[in-house]
Amino acid sequence: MIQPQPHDLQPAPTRDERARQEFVSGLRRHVLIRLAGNMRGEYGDEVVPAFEREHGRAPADGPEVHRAMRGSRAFRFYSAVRTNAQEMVFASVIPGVERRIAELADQARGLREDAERAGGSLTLDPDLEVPRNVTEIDVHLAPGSYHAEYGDDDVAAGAVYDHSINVFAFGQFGRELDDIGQTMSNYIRLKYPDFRPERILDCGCTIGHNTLPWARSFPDAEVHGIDVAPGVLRYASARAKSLGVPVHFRQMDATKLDYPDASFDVVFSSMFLHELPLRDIRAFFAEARRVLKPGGVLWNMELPPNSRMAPYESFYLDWDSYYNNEPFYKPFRDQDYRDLCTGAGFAAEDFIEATLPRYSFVGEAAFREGVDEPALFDSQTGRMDPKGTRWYGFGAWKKA
Amino acid sequence: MSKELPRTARGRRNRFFEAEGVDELLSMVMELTAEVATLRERLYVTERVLEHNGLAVGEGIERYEITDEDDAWLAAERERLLSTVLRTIESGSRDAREAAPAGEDSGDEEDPGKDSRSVRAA
Repeated sequence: MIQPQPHDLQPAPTRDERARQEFVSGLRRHVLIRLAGNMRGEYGDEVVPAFEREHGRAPADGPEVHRAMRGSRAFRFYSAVRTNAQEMVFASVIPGVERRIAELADQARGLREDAERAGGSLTLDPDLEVPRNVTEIDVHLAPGSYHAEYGDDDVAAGAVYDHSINVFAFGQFGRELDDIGQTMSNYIRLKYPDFRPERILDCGCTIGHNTLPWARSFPDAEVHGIDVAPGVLRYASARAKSLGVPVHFRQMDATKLDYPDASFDVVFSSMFLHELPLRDIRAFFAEARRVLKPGGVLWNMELPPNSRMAPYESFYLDWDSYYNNEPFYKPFRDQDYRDLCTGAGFAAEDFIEATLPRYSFVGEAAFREGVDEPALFDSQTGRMDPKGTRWYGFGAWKKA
Repeated sequence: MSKELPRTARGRRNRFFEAEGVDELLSMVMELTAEVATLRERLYVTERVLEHNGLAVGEGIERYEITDEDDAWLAAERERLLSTVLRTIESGSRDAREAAPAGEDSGDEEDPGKDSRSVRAA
């Protein structure tokens, strides 16, 4: 069953809309397990043998697998049903948000202005030009993308984002949709016990769901979250207030950070880089290095790089780039991530990466055992799989 | 403040089947399945609520006579169901929106010669 969100900003779905959300969530799960399994089976049983007969070898990389798979029955049905499921995620959530759009805006404003609640702040920049990679594409088929505003103090884009990923994730993002943030922040805490960050910055934070765990993992640190979209930030700030976690949210472009040099100990991002054109990734990394204090770390949760994945897994993860309005996803995954870091001035030997079990699913004891394991790239890496998922992280330390 | 949020993503919808109409038919099947699942849940909950209130409803359902008011509600609901199930081929869908000039919501006004798939107005 879809877990109710643990904060005050609730849309108003009818019982039928809730039932529809349950169906769509179940459909997503079914597609990613059953139909994905069928597709993998058809690849091994039919597509590879046919390819080998023609070429004398198996497909060598993701694009070759993609070309070989495109005509297969399992691929067509997986892709078509997954596309419908994606569209239906948003369709199941939007009416309930729309019905409460004015109340949600009022409620969010009330939470933000409530002096009794945890600290934190919201600073918007009406002059900020929202980049074209956000405005010109309805990213992962989200109608209106996630930057649009529908009135004064509007939070609709944030509410749609929050509740749609809850339907989308079928429980795989954890109770507060924050497992990625929990996993990535607790990794830094447990792997580097002497590292005591005082200031932490989350870039491209949307509704702050993966920002808040940093404030919980490092309760003495000052945590900031930035995004280019105002509606999600208003929502993020109200959501954080509702959950009692102090975070400073600012509307800012990660490629042009309005922070002084050497002002953060951690610069974090999650599921952010793959939404950016390569030049913006490079600009962000240069900015991250600039604002990091010596001895600080850039740490990104992302999809694993194609160069480390078997051809089929590479194809499987790149599906989104071809079919889910994610044009920058494959160009990013085709990069050497260490080169992205050294290109911004980090030293090659200061590069770090890890593949991690989900902290909120396995618990601290089991998680702690895994923090020194070498990165492992297989069919569970970077994929939402109820049987076991490993999130991938990479980045670099800035020399002290 | 009363605002409408967009319901469909911009850009042409991906197609995965060569035979015309299969992608749309699959979407209809998925929407229908969602409708059936939703309906089943509602019916299940309804029966549990009635049970908790000491009402065994099976026989009453069989004997019930549909009123004019019921009929109007059911007709509107059938129309809503059809619009949902047929969303990919009706106006307002992403492909239909791209194909038709802005402001036109009926395929009847298109030049039939422009697109072999258009249905000629009678």
